[in-house]
Amino acid sequence: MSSKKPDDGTKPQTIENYPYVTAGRTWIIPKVVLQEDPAGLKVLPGAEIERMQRSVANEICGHPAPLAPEELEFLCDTTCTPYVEVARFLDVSKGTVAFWKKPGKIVPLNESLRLKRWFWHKIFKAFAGRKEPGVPMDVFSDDRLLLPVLREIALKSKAACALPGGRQEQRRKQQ
Amino acid sequence: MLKIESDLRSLLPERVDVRHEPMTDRYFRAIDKRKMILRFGTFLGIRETGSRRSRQIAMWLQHPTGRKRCGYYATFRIFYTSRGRPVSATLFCFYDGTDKSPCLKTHASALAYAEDEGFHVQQEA
Repeated sequence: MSSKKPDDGTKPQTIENYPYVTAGRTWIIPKVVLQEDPAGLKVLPGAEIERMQRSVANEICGHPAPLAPEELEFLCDTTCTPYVEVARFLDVSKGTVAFWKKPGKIVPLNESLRLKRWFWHKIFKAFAGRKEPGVPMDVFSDDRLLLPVLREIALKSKAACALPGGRQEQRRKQQ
Repeated sequence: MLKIESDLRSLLPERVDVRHEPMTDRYFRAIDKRKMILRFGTFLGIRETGSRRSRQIAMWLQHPTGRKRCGYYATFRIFYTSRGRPVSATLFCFYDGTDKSPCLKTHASALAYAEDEGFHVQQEA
């Protein structure tokens, strides 16, 4: 841990390998900076929270696997998306989305891939839009190929950081 | 909508911090629900802090599955410039029924709880 005093008078504290519990598991964020608010309370700054959430969302969306209920809830919370909007996007009933949210259920693969692509664009379009990435045309037609490419785009744009122990990292280690 | 409510809702998510002493699973949920509460939460009441540069506000959000489960109760401290412009806020209290925290399933129960906590509540019209 280290600390230094910035211009605004608050005292930041850097924590390495910060455990962030969300979306049904613990994610290790390489570096998080805590600060004090004007009342002297130690806080996790909103900007850090946004960066942490983008990084987790990128790991979830960048892997072409079915969505777990906790992951769906996390993506909805992060993007302020009500479940009714998810149902409308997929053209399914609200009851269907509610069924997927039950513990032990998963969102079917096709719907998961569509949702991951949709959520990724909701979160990262502002970042990815600045620098148009070179994505091969054949990748666009297959979400299973596209999602890992989108993950790399988010990492390159610095909108998200790679999380040690994230799904992609685990897959690389297995290979 | 009262000015303090619009002050809170006008803040970008990057300007809304979350208390970190200590960070428990409940406060990780506060991190996740923070934006939903800001956008869709119901205003409950205001509490003065003794400083002209900050005020507290209580908000409540119904659980997405309805009244059968605990809603999300959160209190924020909003900080102002000397000219009265909101600059940032801290979510410093979050209850969702877990970790022995109060379970507030309805707006009425959240309102009564906020009043007990010293917030000047505003009844529904």
